Amino acid sequence: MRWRRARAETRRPEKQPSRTRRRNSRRFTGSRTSPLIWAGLVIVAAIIALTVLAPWIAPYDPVAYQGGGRLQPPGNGHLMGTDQLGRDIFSRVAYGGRIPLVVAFASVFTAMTLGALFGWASGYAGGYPDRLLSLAMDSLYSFPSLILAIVIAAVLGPGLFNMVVAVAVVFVPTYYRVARAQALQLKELEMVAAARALGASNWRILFRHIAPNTLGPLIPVATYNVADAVLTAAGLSFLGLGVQPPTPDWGFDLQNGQSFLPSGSWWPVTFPGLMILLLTLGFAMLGEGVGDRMRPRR
Amino acid sequence: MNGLRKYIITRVAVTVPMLFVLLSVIFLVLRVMPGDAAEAMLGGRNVPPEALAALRSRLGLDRPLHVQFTAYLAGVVRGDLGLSSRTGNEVLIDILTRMPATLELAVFSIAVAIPVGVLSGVFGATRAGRAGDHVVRLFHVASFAVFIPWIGMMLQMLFSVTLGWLPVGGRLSVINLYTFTPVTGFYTLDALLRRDFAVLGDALRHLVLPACTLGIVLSGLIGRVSRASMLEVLGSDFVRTARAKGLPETRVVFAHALRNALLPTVTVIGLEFALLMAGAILTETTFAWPGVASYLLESIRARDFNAIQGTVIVVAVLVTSVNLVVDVLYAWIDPRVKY
Repeated sequence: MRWRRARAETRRPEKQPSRTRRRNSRRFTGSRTSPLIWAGLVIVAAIIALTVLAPWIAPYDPVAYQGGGRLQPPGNGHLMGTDQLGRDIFSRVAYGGRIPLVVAFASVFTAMTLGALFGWASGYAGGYPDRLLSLAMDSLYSFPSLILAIVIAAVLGPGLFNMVVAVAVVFVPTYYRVARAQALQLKELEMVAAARALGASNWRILFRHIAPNTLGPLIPVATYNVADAVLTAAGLSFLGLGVQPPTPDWGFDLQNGQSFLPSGSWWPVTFPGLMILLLTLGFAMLGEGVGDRMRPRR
Repeated sequence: MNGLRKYIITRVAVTVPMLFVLLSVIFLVLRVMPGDAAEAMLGGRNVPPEALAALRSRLGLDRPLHVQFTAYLAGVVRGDLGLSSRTGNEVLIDILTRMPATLELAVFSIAVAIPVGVLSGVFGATRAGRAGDHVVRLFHVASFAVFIPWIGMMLQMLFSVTLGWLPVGGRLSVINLYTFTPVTGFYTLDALLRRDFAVLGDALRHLVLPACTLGIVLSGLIGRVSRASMLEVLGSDFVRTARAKGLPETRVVFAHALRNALLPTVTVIGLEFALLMAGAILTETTFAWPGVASYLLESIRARDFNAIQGTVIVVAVLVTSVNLVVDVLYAWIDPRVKY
């Protein structure tokens, strides 16, 4: 049985504020959490429902010419008008959320998994590897995320999978930093010393004792991060680095519609952009609300 | 003062390895990922392997990775970023010609973002928990969530297409573009230097929409931090003392509280530089603004690898130096900062 000396000065995590203090501080910042979370949830759920149920909701085929004329303003059977190829914009808007949503969820999941794994290992191991990895992650973190994503997407070429990779890479440092900070703090706890005294291996300590306790702080970061990921994915699509043309995609449709803006066609850009705004707003509100709840006073 | 000098030296010493790591990441991303510059330049599927091999050896891509890496680092240190395959110029020259446009946009967007952010933060903090505060908080969240091209196009729609007050895009009207000779590349500054007020007005009119678009997006974070630090300061003892002295509330808020609450805001403004560069790429695309970000995109479309790499390096150096300056400034403003 391996046994190491338990550290004399074990640091405790910050004590949870008492109920009254939390209530007071919430009044102090003027934030009652639930409305934000609820509003965010409703928006996000509505958009996910729209995109999932698109085949039943969309009145027309999103990629086929509808015979009603090109660039027709809203009305006349087309709720949001038609685009420059005579396609129904409402149908494209309904389907168009699939790419950003899939990319956002997949990339955040990937980034969180990788970032957390590296962060736990780095923080727990400490020493030279930790310093080196921290330096690398900090450098990446300081770099403008969209530019990094654009370059990676440009090198990899267009496609859904490459988009996920490009967006995931830029968000790894975010999770790394949170997970590492948590691991650094938790490994000094008495429970870790106790587990070690009982003969637990490093792996067991890391994954059974430390990792589960870092999830609390990671969740609000991830919620907020989804909004950022949606924006990054939409940015890639807007710049033509997303999926190939006929696929409906809000970001790409926005870029397509821009050339017709000067002639007064506002509808091809307004609606896809509004959807991006609503989706990111929904996730941001959710993240804000969850964050408020986790850390009573920001 | 001695402490500050020591701080600066340590901070610079940390910056060098950070830059090295960034440069290595850029190198790895561009070289090790599938598909190299030679393939990209020749394009297509039916490229004869001999042609590919010839181009690879001409570009030095057949050399061992560490040799390529050393050559690349040596080039960067000397400021040699290679030739652009698209324009035929030196990449560094190309970038430096485009830089003033981006920096001018950056300066004006920050000039929009700071007042909007700070004032909205103060407004929210002084009305904490009331309706006005909720509106401000919603604005801060929304400005974070807004998609730059969309808000840009909505502004174009309203102010350019419908009202016809402002131009849709570009830096100058076509007529001025041909008759005006820039000095520094900062058109507003150049127009002032040449005492050409017609061009100055034209340049400013072109700046309004892009600067507001980027400024609104940047103001969210500034506002959020201002609000939080303002809330903290407003609850402190010296503010209560100031109120007890019977000072008017505006004086308490702006002269006493705000000055002390601005410190975190300064840091955030510095940190926002990375966000600014990321936002610039979308703003420049939306408003046909000929800056560094649109140079990067043109290079990507032309598969000009030297130019892509060069732009990323320049941005990396820029962001790192700005962070360095901000940290040092912060240490100078607040002597409590220790490294």
